[in-house]
Amino acid sequence: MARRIRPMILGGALSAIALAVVLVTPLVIVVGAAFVPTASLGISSEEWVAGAGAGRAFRYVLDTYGHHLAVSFEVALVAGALAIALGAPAGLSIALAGRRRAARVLETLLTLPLAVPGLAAAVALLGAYPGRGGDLGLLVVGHVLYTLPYAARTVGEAARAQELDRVLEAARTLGAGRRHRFRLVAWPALRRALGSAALVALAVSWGEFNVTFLLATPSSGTFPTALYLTYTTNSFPVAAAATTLLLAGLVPLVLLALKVGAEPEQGA
Amino acid sequence: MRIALDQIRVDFPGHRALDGVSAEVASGTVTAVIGPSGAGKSSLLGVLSGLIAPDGGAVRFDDEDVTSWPAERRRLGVVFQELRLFDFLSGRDNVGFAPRVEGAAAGERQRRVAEALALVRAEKFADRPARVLSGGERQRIALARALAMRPRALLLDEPFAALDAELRRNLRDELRALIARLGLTALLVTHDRDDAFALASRLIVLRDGRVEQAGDAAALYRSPASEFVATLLGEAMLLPIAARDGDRAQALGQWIAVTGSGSRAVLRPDALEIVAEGGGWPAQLVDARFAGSRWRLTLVGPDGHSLTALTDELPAAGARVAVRPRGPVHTV
Repeated sequence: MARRIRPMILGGALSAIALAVVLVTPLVIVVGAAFVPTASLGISSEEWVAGAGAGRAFRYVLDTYGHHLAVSFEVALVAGALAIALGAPAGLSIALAGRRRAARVLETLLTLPLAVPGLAAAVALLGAYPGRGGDLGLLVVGHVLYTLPYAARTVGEAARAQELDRVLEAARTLGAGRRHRFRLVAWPALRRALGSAALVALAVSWGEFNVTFLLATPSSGTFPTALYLTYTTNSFPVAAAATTLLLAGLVPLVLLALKVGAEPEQGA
Repeated sequence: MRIALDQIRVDFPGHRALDGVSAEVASGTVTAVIGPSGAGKSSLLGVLSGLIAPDGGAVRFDDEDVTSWPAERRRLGVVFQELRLFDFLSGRDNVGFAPRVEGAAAGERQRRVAEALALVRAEKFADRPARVLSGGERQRIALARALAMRPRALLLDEPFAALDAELRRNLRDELRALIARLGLTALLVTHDRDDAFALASRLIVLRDGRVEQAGDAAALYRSPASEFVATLLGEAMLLPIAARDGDRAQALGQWIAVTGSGSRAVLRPDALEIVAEGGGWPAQLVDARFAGSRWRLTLVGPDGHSLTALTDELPAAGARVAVRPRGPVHTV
């Protein structure tokens, strides 16, 4: 007998597909513009002046803004590492603290940066550390402000979902001291969440623009600031090529983070 | 191993969970701690297992004071209500957790795991990930995990709460036989009197963080110290005593044999019998239901008192009968 699909599920699926189309279409057009003449996409734009071919636009972007890619890579790595090093223990501590008031306050404080506009956060950082504008260290701090909440939440949610506090108690009754509890219980229970959190942190830092825009100088900016420059000073195909390069780094990170986060834990 | 609790006190913000609890679990026996939600059962289990540090009092294993020992040093096999299996491990690796932590050699570890799995008949599904096991399978793995550590005693926290009735009965019987075979000391924490009576020979009744009554399970059922214990341990009808004359008391206009010195008689449905008119309290049958092995009769007695009796025979519908206790009735 053929299985009937419930109307609610069907409706939800159609809505999800429609939403995906709405979200993905602009990206497809921008990426497409990096490879085909913009006129064929219905976009009126100044074409690449020095000859045809997508490779030319990419080469131009890499020649002109290549060092911004390197800065992005460095900043994302350091900010991601710091987010994990600081955020994961914080998220875990909050989850293990349960409903304690202090834990809830700390969680709110950790999440707060996500609600603050990047420009405001950047201004606050410049105010707090005057004379450090353009400093790569301050730029990393700015990125950590936005990557750390993701790391803390991802790890904290994984710990809550697996009731790690209770499971660790069970391990204690089975004779496990701190070392064994970490190595045999906490680590295997959270390693995928940590991986996922690290990838999300890298992705957030890789795509971060607002904080960087104010904290970086033209030479120390990350690739999204270069992207901004391409949109303001270059033709659309060049901007599209830069966008494609940004997405080439971002999309695999996000997909991998989703895959890592979705798979169940296996073995200790 | 004998377990003794001496004047245990546990304070949580805003309330006292345990208030001077003293109790003993004799070596090789199964004792049940029973009480309603909020009575302090989980706190008591936490104190015993070492997961909760008491604010006062002492815990002793045999004659050794272990109050300050952390949970990891106590070697008590705890089966938690929610089981708390390591879902990222297989059933077998869950069972092997304690031997691994102890640093047992691989061969020794495998032997202990195999023994524990065999004891609870869990070999068939032990190699599957714990997270995909059914409720009953998880229950067996949790028990095997506790047994594989060769515990000094077993602590069982509502171990059958999540199981359906038949599985619950089967596992209860198996656990009872297993504990007896291994000669283990065990403490069962439950709010379910069926679990308590099925597994334990002794009961500790907790109420609002205090011991209301403790002793032999059958004695507590027959001679509860209070109305609270009487109704917690079984269905009970409480009849007011109008007059006393030594071991006899007048209730609902009839003189009956009583024990205890209370003002209310505790009548259990299974302690009532139907007799010919004139032989006891006059009553009229208003409802009868077959309760599996016996009939559950609802009768209206003197002054409109509702009486419930479990009997082998079914009187005719609407029949006027008489009801009397089979033996002396305890008073509270």
